[in-house]
Amino acid sequence: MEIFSGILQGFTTSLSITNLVYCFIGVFIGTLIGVLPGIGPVGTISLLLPATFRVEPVSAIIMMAGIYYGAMYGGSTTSILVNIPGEAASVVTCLDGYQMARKGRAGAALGISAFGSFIAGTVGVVALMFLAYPLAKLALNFGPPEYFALMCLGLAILTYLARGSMLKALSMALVGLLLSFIGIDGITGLPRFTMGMVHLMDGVGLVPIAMGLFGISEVLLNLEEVVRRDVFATEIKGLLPNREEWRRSKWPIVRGTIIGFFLGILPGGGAVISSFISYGVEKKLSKTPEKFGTGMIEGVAGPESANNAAVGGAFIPLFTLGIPANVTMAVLLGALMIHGLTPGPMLLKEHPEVFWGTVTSMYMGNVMLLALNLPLIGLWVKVLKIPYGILFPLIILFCLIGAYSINNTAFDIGVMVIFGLIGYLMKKFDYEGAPLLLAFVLGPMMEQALRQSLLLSHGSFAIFFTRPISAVAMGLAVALILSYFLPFLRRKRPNLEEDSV
Amino acid sequence: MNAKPAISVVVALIALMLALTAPCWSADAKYPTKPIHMWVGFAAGGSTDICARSVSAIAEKSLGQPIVVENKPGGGGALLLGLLASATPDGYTLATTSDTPYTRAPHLINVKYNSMEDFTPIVRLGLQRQGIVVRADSPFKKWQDLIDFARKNPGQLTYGTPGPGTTPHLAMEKIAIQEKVRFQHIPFQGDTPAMTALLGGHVMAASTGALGWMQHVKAGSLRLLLIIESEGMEGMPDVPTFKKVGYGFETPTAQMISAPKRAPKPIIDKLIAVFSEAMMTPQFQKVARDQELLSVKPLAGADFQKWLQSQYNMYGTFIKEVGLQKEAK
Repeated sequence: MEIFSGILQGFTTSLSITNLVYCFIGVFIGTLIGVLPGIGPVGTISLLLPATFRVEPVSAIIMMAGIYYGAMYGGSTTSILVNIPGEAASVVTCLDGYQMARKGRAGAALGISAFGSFIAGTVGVVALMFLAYPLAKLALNFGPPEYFALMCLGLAILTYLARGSMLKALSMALVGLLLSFIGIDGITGLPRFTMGMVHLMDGVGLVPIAMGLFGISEVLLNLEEVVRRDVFATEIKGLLPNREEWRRSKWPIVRGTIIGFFLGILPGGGAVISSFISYGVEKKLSKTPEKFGTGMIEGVAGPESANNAAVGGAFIPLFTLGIPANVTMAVLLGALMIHGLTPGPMLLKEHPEVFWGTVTSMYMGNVMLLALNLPLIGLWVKVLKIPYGILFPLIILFCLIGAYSINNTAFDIGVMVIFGLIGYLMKKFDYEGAPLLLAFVLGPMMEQALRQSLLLSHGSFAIFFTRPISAVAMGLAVALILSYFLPFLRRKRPNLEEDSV
Repeated sequence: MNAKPAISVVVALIALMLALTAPCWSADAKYPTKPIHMWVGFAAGGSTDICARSVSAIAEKSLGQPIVVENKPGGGGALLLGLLASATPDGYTLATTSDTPYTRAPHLINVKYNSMEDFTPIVRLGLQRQGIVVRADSPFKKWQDLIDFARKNPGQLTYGTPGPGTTPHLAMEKIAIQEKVRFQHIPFQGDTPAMTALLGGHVMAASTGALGWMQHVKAGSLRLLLIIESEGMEGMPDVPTFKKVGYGFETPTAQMISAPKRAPKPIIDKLIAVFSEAMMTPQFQKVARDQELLSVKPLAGADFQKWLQSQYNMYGTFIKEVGLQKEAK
């Protein structure tokens, strides 16, 4: 019953005119910065932080939370339209979303990601309301061995991410892992592969790599093929998903929501990994996995739902334990503290209006986002009609500003340009960017968790198999990999028999 | 329909982006005549960032010019000091960092600056509280219990820290030398991951900044065994300090503001006066308390430089003693 009085109190707070206005400002800014590649919620929230000093704490938090989940809505837009991920969590949306746009289904792709985001976002909020406290305890069961096993499972997903040659996909994953080694070694504190460059001490940024590999390379590739222009000019049939597309998206949205919410709770995991895993799951379950990467709506619906559900999940450790699950949450934690609130076990006791007010405002915010985003689809689709001579320089300009704004350094622009060239060559030789990025995201956490685990176990690998959660995740990872390679083995067997005969 | 509305949206978006990232330019005259840039060596939302933003928000009122806070994180603040060393020394570029890139980083990595020569320290904002905590259900009721366990079980006591070479890590290694015991260090990336691992029972103890554990100690889920400093803590008179258990050393971490070397003396004096005053306002004192900053009285000018030099020397000796490696040239 305590929950219901809390929810009631929350709605009284969040439904006040002032808070509704702040919520709207938040989701509106969030949508904008989500659309703009590079400029993410982290930078925006920290820029707006001083402006909220004179505002009621709960209103400030409502607005900043709105920026965060608003960005998750907007992030898919550029992925779908021009193959440039607006946020790291929308990288995987490029794979099929962009292809849908090329086939004249940009509206459907944008529509399904808006609806998927709405459904997942709303379910995530409801789950956050009822499950926050029990789940917070569950998240604590994840120690270094569990994280390592989970990361192995994530890498095993790789076998489903690859479209063409498995060998090429694995080699790209290795490149991703190698790239993730750059920077300060988390165990010894010594810099690795930095070539004496201080900029490389914290490693290479994910966003400049993603913008380069996907966006810049796409622009370069299109420069050669002016004729293909008419692919985009094909008439855009209907702005919203049709009945068939809805039928195909239904279950991916449900699965994406569940995956996103649970991975969102885990510190470090969150939106990016859950979007990759959702994509892998949809491809695995699909009857036509070979069609993924050519414009399958399942490959948009699942990941876009997952990254929005992850938002609800990410608030759980922040509000209940004071543990930020990702960088954006860390900035929000700082914002709460500036307003004199310390997130953690005492927050619900001392400031219930902040907890319930913010959570219930997210419900309103999701409704606003849907209302805001659906009419915009028509406008976004028209972006595709802008002549290439204007569109391409604009894309490059957005990417340059976006890359600079991440850390206020021109170094990231260089990284983006270099990876743009690499991405161009990769596309020419049929190497895929997605496995590289997945491995790059998982790499640092995986390495840190592996070495921490071995320090804990004094060097024994048994630690990964004696703890139940990690044993299950490891088992799943092995099963995933075997299920990929078994068909090969079976297919080869008859040949062997023939040979022996 | 044509593409015009879409283009105008795009143009509006560019305008927004430029507005978000544009620096401000204006002519020179009597200091300050244009906005001052306050670089922060760590990411937004962290302790250093919060200190920088709140002290800047107060100081800009007395300076009469806005202070633009920009985060330039990287290499634990070493990236920022490298940039600051080559910034124009005109008082329009300042930096807020912890003392890490000044006093410890040069002993561990090859930095691109001379931390004792290239900068003018302006003011020390405070010292970060630190302590060693265990879970509430831990058998270690007091500090001596933990030491006794470590003595009987060499290398079995696992403890988490915010990272290798951080002050809470150095403190534990110094203790191990003094007590002649062996701990098993498990480095994490920051206070929070270390605290999460302790709450989940994956490590037996954690040595971190107070921001990580204060809420949990108050809520009763963690127990504070030892405070890594000679002063006790308000509201927790029973918790022993380093001094009380007989450790004759401290491992402080400071938050501080500095400027490039060779900025005109009148400007530096003005900045020292303005920031010292800002620090003593009730607004900043509250922020400092929330951030678990200790001894918030301004330390500035030559005294501050002397303190930095002593810390630099001390950590140089510490790091050699506990056997941490330095990056190869």
